[in-house]
Amino acid sequence: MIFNLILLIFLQPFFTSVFIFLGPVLSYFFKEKIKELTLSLIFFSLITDIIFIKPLGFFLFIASFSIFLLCLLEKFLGHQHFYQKLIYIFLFNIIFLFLFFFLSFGQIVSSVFFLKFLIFNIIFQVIYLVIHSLLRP
Amino acid sequence: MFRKKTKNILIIFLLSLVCYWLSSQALAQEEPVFNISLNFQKLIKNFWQKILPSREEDFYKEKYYELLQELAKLKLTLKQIKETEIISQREKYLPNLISADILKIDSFGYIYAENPKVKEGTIVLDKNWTLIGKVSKITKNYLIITSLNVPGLEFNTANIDGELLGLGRTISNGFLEINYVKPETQIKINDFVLTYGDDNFPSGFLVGTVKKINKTQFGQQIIVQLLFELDSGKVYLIK
Repeated sequence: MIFNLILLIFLQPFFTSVFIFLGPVLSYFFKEKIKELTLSLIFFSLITDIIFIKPLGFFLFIASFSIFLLCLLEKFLGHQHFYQKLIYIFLFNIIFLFLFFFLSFGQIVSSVFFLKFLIFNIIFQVIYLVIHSLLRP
Repeated sequence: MFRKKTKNILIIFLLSLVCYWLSSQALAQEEPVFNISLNFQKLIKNFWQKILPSREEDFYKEKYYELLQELAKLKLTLKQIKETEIISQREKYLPNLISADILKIDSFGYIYAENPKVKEGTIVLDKNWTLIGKVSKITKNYLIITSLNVPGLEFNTANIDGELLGLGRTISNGFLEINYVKPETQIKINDFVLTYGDDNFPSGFLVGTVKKINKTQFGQQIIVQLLFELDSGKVYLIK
């Protein structure tokens, strides 16, 4: 938690194309740690709001909605479609970034920007999840 | 486990919906918090810059701008333009120029800076008098500048002679495209591009240099590399 907090406070202002708080959130989501997921989602998303100068609750809203949609997809489409974590990550980022762009600008301002954000976030989350699972299996 | 997870997330989502709605209604109340955050981010930025200074890069950048300025002067002398718009802009706007510290730059091209009491729509320049953008939002403690890095901004452009090139459109990542430039317009790589008319920006401000010229069936398409730089940590506003 403290490590994530340091990451968020000291690195997030410089990497504005990557949402650092999604790393721990997705990590707890995959490990089915509900308490940690809830706590990190609320706490880290509020800090991200303050760093990105967004109305408080903005990132909590889009992150929780994206995770909620993933949960529903998992239920209705069956577990066999979601056996790869990468598919989860990909779908999550598409929903999250679409909401982020749409609520920030009312449209997807540039497909180049969208792709850049998508690629950067997926790469970051994969690296975070790999390191996290190696350190805390 | 799945039901519990979905239920928890749904509760958080509903709570966040209320929180976001309330927050959007009372954004002004959050300004002091955001101001603290911006100043804190500036402190962290300064801290990293002290640990990892990039002096060599700065040196070359300064050299580059000096050369650009010299080149501009030479071009002007060659063309024997006594009173070009760039020079007259400086004389015209110098008494009204005011500096502001940059607090944060986001990846979309929006710049957060201290508010030196200016109005919305104020023109923003860098230390080399290159156009950065325009003030788009004013709050009590800070202001938000829409820089030319934000995609989709449109304004008229001219060449160094002050002749209209066409409507320029920012395409992010430090570039601007000008479509449907007349085929007979003489333009070369590295030529300077300025603002034209008084639509979105006043005329005569340096925007960038020509990086690429594409010949199309409707004329020419010009890709311009923006020249403004923010490394000094300051922007200059025309009051």
